[in-house]
Amino acid sequence: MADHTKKKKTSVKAHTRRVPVSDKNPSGITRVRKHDRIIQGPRLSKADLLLILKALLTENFLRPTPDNLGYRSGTAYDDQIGAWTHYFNKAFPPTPPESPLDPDLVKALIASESGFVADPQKNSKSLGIAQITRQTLKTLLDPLGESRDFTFKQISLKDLKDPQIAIPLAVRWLFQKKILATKRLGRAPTTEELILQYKGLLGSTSDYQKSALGNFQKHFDRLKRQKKADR
Amino acid sequence: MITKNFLVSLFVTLLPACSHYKLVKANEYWREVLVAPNFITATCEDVEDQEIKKTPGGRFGFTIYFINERKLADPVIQGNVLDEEDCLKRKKAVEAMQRRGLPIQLRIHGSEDDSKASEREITFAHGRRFRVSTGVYQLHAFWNDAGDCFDSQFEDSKPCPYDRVAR
Repeated sequence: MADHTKKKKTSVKAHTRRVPVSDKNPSGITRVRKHDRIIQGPRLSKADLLLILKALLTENFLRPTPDNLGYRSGTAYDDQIGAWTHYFNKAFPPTPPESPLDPDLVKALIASESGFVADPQKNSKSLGIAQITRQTLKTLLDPLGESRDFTFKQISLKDLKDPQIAIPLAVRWLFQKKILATKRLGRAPTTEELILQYKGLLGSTSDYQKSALGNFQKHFDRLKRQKKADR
Repeated sequence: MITKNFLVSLFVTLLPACSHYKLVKANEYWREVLVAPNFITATCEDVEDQEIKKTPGGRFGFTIYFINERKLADPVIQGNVLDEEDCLKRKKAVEAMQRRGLPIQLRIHGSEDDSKASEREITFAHGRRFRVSTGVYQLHAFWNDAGDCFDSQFEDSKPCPYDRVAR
């Protein structure tokens, strides 16, 4: 399992390559010039995700505040949220003075997206606990796309109904959204801006945008208050 | 003999005179409110970010507003952004229940906080305008006594999801 995420380049020396015999290449051998090769970031399959999670759960990491936020499954995914936030914070370390991604932010986001329902909405265009869209999944699977630094493979839309798959993809997507928001704003986004970017509302001037942010903040503030009280 | 229908009709008749709003249940996380049908309205707002490429099906924010005991319009949102089709499905479900004329019960997530009146106003039935509250709730489900129900996540699947999944 590779843990690097930076795009690396290597130089490939001139070499020969066997090709099908044709009029153009009667010898069946062609010469390839010296060229660069971009080493892609990790590509994790469903099986990789399950193995990594198993290993992560034996580690010590920061978990979200154990408050169910009033949802029946509100604490059911705390371990997974904490584990994957920890994993991607290591994969995409923050540049000081930025802070690592807060697992409470991920938990409050999931609460606002699905209320921790693993398989919500029939015939929906967004799937699973984190309401990942088809387009987002396509991007996360594309080894040459915008998130090529860290992609996934052999994951279908149906797999998104499994929180063990949806949670790591959502956390990875949050890191991608952070990069996009940073480019757009010319600085690191605040927590609120990151959430709006995830929800595709950063550039929206709608009343709904304010309500959606207020709703997220209610969940997030509740977790923070509870964390303070638990100390 | 006093029938259930008679009691419901009586309630609806007297509701505007006494109260259009009743808090049915509440805990520190969520509440259930019963609201007269004319004191609810639903909107689908286009929230497409103009700086990013158009999403097929569009991007819409669904909000129900109901008039609370302070005569402010409380917004109740679907937490995730929807496409136009899914948003209109919700709006039509609210409108269909309004046409029934029965009180609509809403299960909403969030506690009452220090919300106050904002500058914004929204129009309800018969052109009545109310100031919108600065607070916000997240929608779980809404239903009426005629067996109609709609859940924010499970939509109109039966049995009524609010019974099956107490989120």
